[in-house]
Amino acid sequence: MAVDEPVAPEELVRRCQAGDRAAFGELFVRHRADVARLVQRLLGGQGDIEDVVQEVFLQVHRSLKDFRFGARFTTWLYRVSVNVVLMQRRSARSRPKLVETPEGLVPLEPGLSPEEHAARGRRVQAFYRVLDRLSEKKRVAYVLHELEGLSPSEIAETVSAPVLTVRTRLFYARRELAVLLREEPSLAGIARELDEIDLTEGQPHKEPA
Amino acid sequence: MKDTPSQRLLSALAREARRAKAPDLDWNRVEQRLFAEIDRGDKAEIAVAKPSARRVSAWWLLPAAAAFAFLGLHKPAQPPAVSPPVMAARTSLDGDGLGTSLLEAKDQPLIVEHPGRASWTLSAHSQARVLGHADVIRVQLLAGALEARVVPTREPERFVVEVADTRVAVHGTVFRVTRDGERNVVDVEEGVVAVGPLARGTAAPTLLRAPTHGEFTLAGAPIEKAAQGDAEVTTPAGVAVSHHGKRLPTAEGSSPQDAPASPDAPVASVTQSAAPAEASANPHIAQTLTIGEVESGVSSVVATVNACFRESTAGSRDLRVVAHSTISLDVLPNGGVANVDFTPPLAPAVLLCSKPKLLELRFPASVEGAKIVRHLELTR
Repeated sequence: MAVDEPVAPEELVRRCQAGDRAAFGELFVRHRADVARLVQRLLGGQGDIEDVVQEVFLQVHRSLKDFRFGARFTTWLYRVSVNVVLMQRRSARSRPKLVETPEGLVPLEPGLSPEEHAARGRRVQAFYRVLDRLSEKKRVAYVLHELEGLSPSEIAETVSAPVLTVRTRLFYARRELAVLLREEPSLAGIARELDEIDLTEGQPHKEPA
Repeated sequence: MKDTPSQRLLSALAREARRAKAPDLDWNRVEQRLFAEIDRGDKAEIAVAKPSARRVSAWWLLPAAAAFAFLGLHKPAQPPAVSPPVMAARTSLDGDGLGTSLLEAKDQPLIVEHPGRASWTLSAHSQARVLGHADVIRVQLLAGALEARVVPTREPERFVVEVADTRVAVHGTVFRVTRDGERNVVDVEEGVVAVGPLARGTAAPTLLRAPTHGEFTLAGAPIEKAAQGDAEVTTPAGVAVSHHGKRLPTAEGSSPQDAPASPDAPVASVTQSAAPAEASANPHIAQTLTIGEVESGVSSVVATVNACFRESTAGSRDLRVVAHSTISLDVLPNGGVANVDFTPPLAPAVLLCSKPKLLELRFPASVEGAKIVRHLELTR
């Protein structure tokens, strides 16, 4: 496929639906980073991100012919991703858990000292540990809203639920998390660390509504 | 209402989690596995048998003939018959993971891909065996036909096909090899192909430049059809068969028993344009460009186009832009470049940047000049 100009998303999807292998390769390249980030956040450090990302795009390839442009492709892609992750988590319950590493959740950023990176890793690890104690529906709503920046209506479309239901899930997710944080023993120290760090700078994702 | 400490802590943790960048995965591996899985899901009717214990003769004896750079064989009275093989077939395998398996394509063609290096299509009702896929991809065609697209490279002999006692060595090209009873048929769309006996030193290989078509005995000797008649005449090895029916020496003054071609060996030409009289009259000008000279020029072409593509294409850290195009340029007898074409055309900005530079490139002078066709993959 010649790509002189960036192909419009809809056109790319249509080419994929027509069986254009190169177009599917392009689709993969365009969306793989977003899918990987979402998968990582939904998995919370459990499971093999590569395997799940591969499975997401495999499902996309199988199901793309059924995509009717009734929603944005990215919304549909998020829905597929969420479903694949949930399936993976359910099947993983019967398997031994791997110990997640802070490095897996927090890729090394330029400008961070090794100590800062390790400290951030511990905090995020604890955060995901707490997040993991939420029910599936609340966790998905929370991750999509607070971490991915989706609006409640976008989440509603993604998880096929009414907007009001999504808002309710978000409300209870935040409330439960606040309680769970107090019960997390490692967070006493983390709270002290947070006091020493300016957390007000740099927010790569839009603030949730 | 003021947030509680727990809520502030939760917000702070969420912010930190948001800051984390996307995981840095091995995307090539993921992509490779993904497409392999997709292909498996297509339920191709292929049979992959255990490798035979019989060793194929003396591949290690084959010369690393960089000379055999581009291949280019075409069927005479046919339009470009060698369509992009990957798109033509419906299933594919990871060639680098096949070992030395015997491959059999039943009712559907079978694609074998060596990521970043080559892809080849085994036609329906054909059999082949991958003999090796390390530095050189080596395939033995046992029955039927295969078509290959080899990514251009300066490395010699990136892809070799063995058919009975004939070897077809390629560098970067699009070509097709068919085993047809007691003969081997080679069609080359782009580049130059070297076809010769499997055993080293028995005869010089035949070099053919695209677009042309060649037929060979199972032992690798060329078979030439009479220009007007139906009779087939076997020519001595070292004689190329052009699609005009001309017999062209592979090397000036070389005998069929000469050593295998080197990177500087002249290529049998099927260039369409007639050589200018003044060039023909100059005894110091070679009849054709050598493979080495063409390769050197092609490297400059690729570098120029790539630089313009990177310069003119918008991109970002997380976005990779890939463009595929086939460049076609005519090298004049005086070494100048004329008629640079891209199919499909590149973006106007890339063309504006690259065409003037390409037209300034100079190849060595030759009597026949050359027509160079290459598939390009441009990445930003």
